[in-house]
Amino acid sequence: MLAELKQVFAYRDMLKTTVQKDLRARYKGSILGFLWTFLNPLLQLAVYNFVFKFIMRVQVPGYDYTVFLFVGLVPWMSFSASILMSNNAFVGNANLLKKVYFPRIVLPMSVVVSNLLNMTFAFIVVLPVIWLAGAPISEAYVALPFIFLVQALLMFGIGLLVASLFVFFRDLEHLLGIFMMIWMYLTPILYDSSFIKSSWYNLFKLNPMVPVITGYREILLFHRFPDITSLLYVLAFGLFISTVGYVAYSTLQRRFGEEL
Amino acid sequence: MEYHFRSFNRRAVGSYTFLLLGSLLLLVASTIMYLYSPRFAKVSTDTTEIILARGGVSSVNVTLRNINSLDLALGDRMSIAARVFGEAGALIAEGPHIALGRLAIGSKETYRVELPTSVKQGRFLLKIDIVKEGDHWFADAGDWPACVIVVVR
Repeated sequence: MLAELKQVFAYRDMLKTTVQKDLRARYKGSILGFLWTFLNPLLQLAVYNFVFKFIMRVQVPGYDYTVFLFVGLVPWMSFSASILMSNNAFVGNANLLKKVYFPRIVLPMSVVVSNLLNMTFAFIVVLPVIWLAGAPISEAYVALPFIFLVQALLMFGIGLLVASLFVFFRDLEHLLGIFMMIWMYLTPILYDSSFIKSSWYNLFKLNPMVPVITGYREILLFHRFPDITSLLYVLAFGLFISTVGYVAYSTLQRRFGEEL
Repeated sequence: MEYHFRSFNRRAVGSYTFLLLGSLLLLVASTIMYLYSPRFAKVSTDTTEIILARGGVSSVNVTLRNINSLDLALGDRMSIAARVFGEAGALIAEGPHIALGRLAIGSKETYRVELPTSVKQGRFLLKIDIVKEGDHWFADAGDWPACVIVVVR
């Protein structure tokens, strides 16, 4: 694993180029181009806000639902997009994989980095909205990089696993869409964790995205430090899933050439 | 696939097993710590026994200390209240709920909790606990409430 990381470091320019290519290619040919990075979350927010705030009349005690929704939606969109795009990381670059030697792990890694960058850009829109809504900057902001890191680890682990399996099991693409939709509804993005009945709460808490989304809200909306034990759980989950992903990748990568 | 596993390096298998087991162990430990960390707060009272005349109104000073790793916020919809149980353990009466305000990590606050007045003569157990409004009492979810023996003459 360390040797692989050393290789990735040696090929860091390639990682940078792949991320740049991915960011450029995402909205290539569209009229609004890079503006879609900001427009996409705003439009999704508008749809969810209309359905859940005005039709279903969901309320979160003491907080504005639109801002509450926005803070949960931005990290989720980045997480979800990263996993769905990682799916195609090896298959979509089959020609490159067959012709050029480079550490293949760079491909799913670049998907994660480009989605994290997209999330950062989206937060540039979110933060002024939050400040305007009356939530000032607090000392809890220092915990943001830690949540960012555990989310990145989680995205990388799942992404690597999915990308490696997809080379052999192409049905995964269809299953993944459904799985991510279920996962979204099991994560407190559209509602608050306090809506969950106590008998289900411990099971609900095991979803690793629960502490991530709750953590962002704790910092950005409620000006308090996130629960450290919950974030350590996500960190451990991220390390475990990254190990599983890496073992799957190392085991299967030798046959990528034949399958692709 | 078969060909691949046969050709797989034994040393690599050993290191992967070690990595997988190590990270799994870390995950199990952190899950236990996460699930069984103190839920919210420690409730304590300034007395362990109260002797009352029948129909008499009394109250208990209750100290609440936030022992969780999170602040308590107004939006958490928590209250503190007293419940009276008979000697057989049946719920007899419930006192008024006092809504909790913001309580930072480690800080404590004292509340004056009124005892229910509908209690008749006898010996009872008063349990003072936090309630998540519309959902559950913390004692029902495994927390320890503050207990006071109430004797009504």
